[in-house]
Amino acid sequence: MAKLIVNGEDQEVQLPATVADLIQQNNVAQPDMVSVQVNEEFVDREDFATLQLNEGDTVDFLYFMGGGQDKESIEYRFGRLGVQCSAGRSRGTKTNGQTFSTKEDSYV
Amino acid sequence: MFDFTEEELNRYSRHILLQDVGVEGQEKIREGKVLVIGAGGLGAPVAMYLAAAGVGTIGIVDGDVVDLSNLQRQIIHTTPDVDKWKVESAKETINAINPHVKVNTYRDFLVADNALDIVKEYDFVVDGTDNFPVKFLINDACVMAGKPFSHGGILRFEGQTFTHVPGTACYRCMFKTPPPPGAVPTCSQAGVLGAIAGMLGTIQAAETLKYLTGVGELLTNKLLTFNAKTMDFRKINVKKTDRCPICGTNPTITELIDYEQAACDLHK
Ligand SMILES: [Zn+2]
Repeated sequence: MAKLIVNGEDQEVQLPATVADLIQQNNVAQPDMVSVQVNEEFVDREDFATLQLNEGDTVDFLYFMGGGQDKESIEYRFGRLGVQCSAGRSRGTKTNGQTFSTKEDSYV
Repeated sequence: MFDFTEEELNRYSRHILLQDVGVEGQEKIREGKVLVIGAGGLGAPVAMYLAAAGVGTIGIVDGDVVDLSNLQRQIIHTTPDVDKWKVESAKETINAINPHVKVNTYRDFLVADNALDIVKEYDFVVDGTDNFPVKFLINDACVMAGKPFSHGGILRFEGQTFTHVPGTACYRCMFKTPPPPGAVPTCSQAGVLGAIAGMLGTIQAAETLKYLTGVGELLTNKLLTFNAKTMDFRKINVKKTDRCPICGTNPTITELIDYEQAACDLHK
């Protein structure tokens, strides 16, 4: 067994093991969503299955965390923009943002 | 040389007493222009502490109205504010805390079309939003505009935050793209302990004041995470990535993106 530091704590790991193995062993809830650092360098997702870990490696799992604005703002926003969800999710609408007129102090 | 009135000197005396702040630091705070995006769980304590601290100009972006379920943590709004625009309610509270603060309200959600125009007016930006498309939008707009910002996220009993200034790690260095819609729950779906918003929001407010005054070390190249169940706090060192799609050496993102629209079709 080799000793790794995972999320700041010592962990005994059977080597050889890849990043993907470690994700599995740690029961990471959404493995396709976690970000991983090995020795403070981010690992590309494509390399999770091939990157071998070594004795003494420091591994950090980083997770998405939302925030505090609340109210189903996505739904609300869709309503406001007159947008309806469809099944596909590939096309991106890009703009470079020059049309907004600010509403400074208009709601006193 | 500093034209503080007696009332202001008294109001800010506990700042001025701080050796690291003093009248000079208080003047920097007064000259500061801070944009708070989202007048919710995080934006509420941020805006209130910044107002109390005497930040000269506070901009607030939110297109939502106050709901009864917000009051459990969005302490800038009170019971009589239900159904009011959040920006309006927030402005009233800020004015009541400190009438010296100029409040700019943007009664809208931040989108690719308005982000750069709004962000460019400010010295520092605070992300108090709850959804990933906007978190990425704030990151991208601030990186493009060269603006520092504080990122914040909370869920259930946990929180995480980092501070970005140009040249340090950005959100996309850590997370390349937003999770697919619905893949990661937000507070409105999974719940959050109200005080967690205060814990994280006050960290963001402190980072803002540190940035404005130049005091101490910011949470740059560090992701601070905490779990209130155990009260474990952890700072993870993170590095700016050369391969980052927006701040790396060969950025592939050159325009702002509305991720929701990428998932949806527009209907007139
Ligand atoms: Zn980056």
